[in-house]
Amino acid sequence: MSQGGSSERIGFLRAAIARIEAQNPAGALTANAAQGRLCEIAPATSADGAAACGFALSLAIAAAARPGLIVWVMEDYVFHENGAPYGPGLHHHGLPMERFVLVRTEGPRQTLWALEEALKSRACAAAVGELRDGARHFDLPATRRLTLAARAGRSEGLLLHTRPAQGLSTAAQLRFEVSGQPGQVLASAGGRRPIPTYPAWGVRVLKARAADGQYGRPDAERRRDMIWGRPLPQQKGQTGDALSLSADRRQKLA
Amino acid sequence: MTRYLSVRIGGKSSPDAEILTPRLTPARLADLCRRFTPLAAPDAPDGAMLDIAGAAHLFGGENALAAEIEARLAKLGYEARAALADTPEAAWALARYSVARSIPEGADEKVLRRFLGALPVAALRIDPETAYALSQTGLKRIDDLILRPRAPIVARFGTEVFARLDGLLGRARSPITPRFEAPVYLVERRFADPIARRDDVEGALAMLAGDLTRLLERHGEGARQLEATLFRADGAVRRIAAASSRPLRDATAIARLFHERIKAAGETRDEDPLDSGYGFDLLRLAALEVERLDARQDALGRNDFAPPVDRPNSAAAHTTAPEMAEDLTDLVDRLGARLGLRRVMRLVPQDAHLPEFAVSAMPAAQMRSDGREASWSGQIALPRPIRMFERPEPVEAMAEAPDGPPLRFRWRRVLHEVAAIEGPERISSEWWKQEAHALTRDYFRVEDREGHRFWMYREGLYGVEAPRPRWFMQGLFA
Repeated sequence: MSQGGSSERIGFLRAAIARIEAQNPAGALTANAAQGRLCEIAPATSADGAAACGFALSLAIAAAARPGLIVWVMEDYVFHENGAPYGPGLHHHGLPMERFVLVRTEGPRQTLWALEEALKSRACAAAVGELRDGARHFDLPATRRLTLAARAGRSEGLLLHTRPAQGLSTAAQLRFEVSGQPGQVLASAGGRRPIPTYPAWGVRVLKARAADGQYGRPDAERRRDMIWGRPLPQQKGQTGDALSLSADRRQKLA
Repeated sequence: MTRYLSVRIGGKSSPDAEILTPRLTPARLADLCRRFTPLAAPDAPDGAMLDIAGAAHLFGGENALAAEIEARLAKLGYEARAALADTPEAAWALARYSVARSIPEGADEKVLRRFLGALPVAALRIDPETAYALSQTGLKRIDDLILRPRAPIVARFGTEVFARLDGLLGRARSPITPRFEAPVYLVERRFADPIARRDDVEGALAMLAGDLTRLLERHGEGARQLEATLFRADGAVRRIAAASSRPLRDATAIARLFHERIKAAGETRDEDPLDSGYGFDLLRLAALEVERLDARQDALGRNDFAPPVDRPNSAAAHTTAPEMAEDLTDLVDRLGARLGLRRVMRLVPQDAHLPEFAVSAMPAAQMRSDGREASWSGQIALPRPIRMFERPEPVEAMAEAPDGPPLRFRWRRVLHEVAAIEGPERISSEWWKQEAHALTRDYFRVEDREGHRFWMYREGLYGVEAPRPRWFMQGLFA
């Protein structure tokens, strides 16, 4: 077989796989990540802020496989109200802290500017932006700018909403809605309460758009349950990824 | 050879002086005079002292320089006198007590006596009481002092009189204290007509950045601290500082830093960010701090020999490692220039027990590039929350036993039922430090029935440190 023929065929296969992945929003986690994209992460309820933050962090860690900084932009208001990313915790989850930069801003204008600068700088693997009134400030032009910046810098832009996002109209390629879920637990001796293990989330993909502008058809009602970390030994069929997905399988409380 | 110029503001030549140039303090006068020489010191209460060695020829000679200073201040409505001499003391005396404008360079003592001998003793710059007392004893002129035996005068009036006299006659050297150190490298551009528009100023700064870059290149250095000085036509002086986290020798990067600084100024003051008023007639760009920067050899064949590699899936394909490092510091500098250096931070682990002190935020621009800061790689990855509150928030918790884990708790007005719990992890303060007398904390990792994970602690050992320990929420897990 000629060299050209085989590579053509592989190229064809790759394209086919990409199409399938675009159709399947579960593959959305990895699709187009290398070309630069913009994702939105919103909590399902106002109590799920930490879960959404954790999900954004997991995406940032996945993006950190590529070289470059991980920039976390947050407003002063969020800093005071919802707390700040905590170094030892980020380190525990495997974020390369040597490449982590925390940027504090005074308001949405500065936040958007800092995000855009970070995304297009080509020095950035992922940039997380946290906004209080995300729905108001992340409008279509602003997010379109961010999308273009992410593509120019081939970096991952993550917009983290601090409140449930309703009526959003943005240019982001992906939108996730994250809720905290009861995770796997380890039984504790002596009839005491069990021991918590890894974070678990319910994630709904509300929007998934491939880089070429084609829309996948996310099943917005379908919630995927995910565990962040290595599943416990009794769980079969899963390997130890940093981010493993166990779709539609609710963990029961022990 | 040193040469000093003393400026003295005599009075107002125009009743509008206060309106045109309010509060012409010695410091502002020194700033204004810095356009002639980098070494200008305020000279309280009414003047400034300039070290003009090697600078006068740029303005057409010493007399032309002195005339320009006087004319410039006259335009602002002030009567000024400038005088030149080889010592600051002589220049000071000349500007205030003599009609002569300058003592020739390298004048010997005979010439000095001709110029200064007839001046009153107050020209020594001694305090008025001493001057008065001297004149009461008949020592009215400087000549009277020069030939006198020193011991009786020192015994009565102190050593200051002759210290001054020695300075005046060039027998002792006294330095001046410039308001700002002379920069290492300095480029400037003068404008016949003042420029006021922000675009023009930024354009001129970009040109100056080009000049500065060439200067730095010739010396193999890069700038860490930069300062742009804008001299307004009416005497006001505006300074804009910018810092870089790596030695910088790239004109566009320098121009971009100042662009961000000016923009940041515009955010706080919505009107004219530069406060350009009548416009600037002199722009100066200085490198205050430089570091050695050797020219980098680009990777061989990056652009010339290797065919362009089209690998869209590999993020590293379009940047080489040194380029990436440059982009990285550029990004940090740009963010810092606009938002403030203290707002762009890196987290550094600290050797402390209490969780809130286990990490500190350092300005990213000031991080040492040799990685001598404490590193995260040696840190044990304890299960710690991903977010931490600025200060722990009080929680109402109900427990089976006063020293047991909580069953349910109320935080931010919501009741949470505990579903899973791990703890306690006991963390006590560093007892070997005197100032640390915080209570022992028992930390619990808690998951509630809705699937939210918390990090809370009970403060104080029950019955030992506190009769009723209180609960606090410190952080959140993913």
